[in-house]
Amino acid sequence: MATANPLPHDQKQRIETLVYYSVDKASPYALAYGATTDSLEKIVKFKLTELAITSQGASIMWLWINAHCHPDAAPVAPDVAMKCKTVADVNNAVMANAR
Amino acid sequence: MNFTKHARAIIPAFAFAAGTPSAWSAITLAADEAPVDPPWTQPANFSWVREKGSTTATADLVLRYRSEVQRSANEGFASQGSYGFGVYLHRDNAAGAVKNDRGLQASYSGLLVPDWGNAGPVGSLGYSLKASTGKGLVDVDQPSGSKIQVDKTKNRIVFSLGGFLQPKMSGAPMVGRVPAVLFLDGGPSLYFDESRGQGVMGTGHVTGASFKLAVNYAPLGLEPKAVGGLALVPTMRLAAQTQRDLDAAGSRMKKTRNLYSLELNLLFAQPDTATNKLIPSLQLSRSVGADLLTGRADTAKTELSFGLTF
Repeated sequence: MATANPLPHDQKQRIETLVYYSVDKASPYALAYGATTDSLEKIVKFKLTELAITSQGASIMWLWINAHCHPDAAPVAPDVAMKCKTVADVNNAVMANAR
Repeated sequence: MNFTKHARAIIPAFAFAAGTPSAWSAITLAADEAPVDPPWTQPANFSWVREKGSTTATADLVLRYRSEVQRSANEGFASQGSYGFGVYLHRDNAAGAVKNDRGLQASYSGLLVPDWGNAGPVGSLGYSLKASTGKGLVDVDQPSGSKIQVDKTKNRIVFSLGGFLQPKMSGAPMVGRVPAVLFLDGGPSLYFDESRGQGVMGTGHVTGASFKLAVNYAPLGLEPKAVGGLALVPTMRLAAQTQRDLDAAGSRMKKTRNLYSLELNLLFAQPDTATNKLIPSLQLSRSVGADLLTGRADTAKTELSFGLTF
């Protein structure tokens, strides 16, 4: 459920950290060790396929997000998750479930 | 060589919510996973096969209930799992049809993701326990060396581990560049398979172990490449499996079965702007060997399949 008010900074940062870590976990690239990919801002424009994330990799990513997002956000529903094509989509989907 | 060509229509899922909003569950017709690892790959589909001058119509139906996904996690891992219950039916109208199976199945399946750090390969471990009971035609060896097919009650329990490993990639990703993808999957399983009824021949049980390993490669990556209004996603899969019976009782004998397959797939994916339309796919596969858990007798065949997904 989307929140009407801006998220507290700490909560927003925790969610972004979780999203970045989960995307890095699903990608065979060592994103955190690359100067051009070591933050969420730098990878948010990437498609998941450009990060070589497979459908199983996406399952790994969503499991890690949904298992660790409590209490900052509710798990993302499968029908929403499967529509996410970019890192920005993933981040927006998790942010939309912030509570 | 057995060359078949068939068209299949994949039926969309119908989901019904049950229970309170906090305990969503679903009854699914046309599930994306067959209940008993049967030889057909798309449950709830209808197909027509033209072979050697005759046409065969087949129907695969699945009704499955899957529980709400349960998750657990700490800093070192994340896991999820769910229970499933299903009924299944496979019918075809061919004389001497070998796949007229029907029955019930219960399962628990899960996925475990350890936190190995993110600088190495991508990996996960799947696990499942499936128990099924039902009727099905089985091949029975005759003393003369020939085979006949007999309708028997089949009970089966299979525990499987399924690993996924995508090797680490060097370099840095670039926007607009879709890299080739290589990954491995497979793992061991233990099985108990019992057949009863309809005479002594083929009655009894076997227990055994199997191991499967598959290499998957997408040379153009997993992003559809636009070609004439459609978009192509070519993939290749090379798989090998060995099954060894460790124990046999009744009139059944211990066997070792091997199965090798090579698949070339072309998925004609629609661009994102043209969703909700038919998406054709083409698969060419060559396979040699046998598989007890799918009811496949020892054979070699080449298949060309054309599918329509909507």
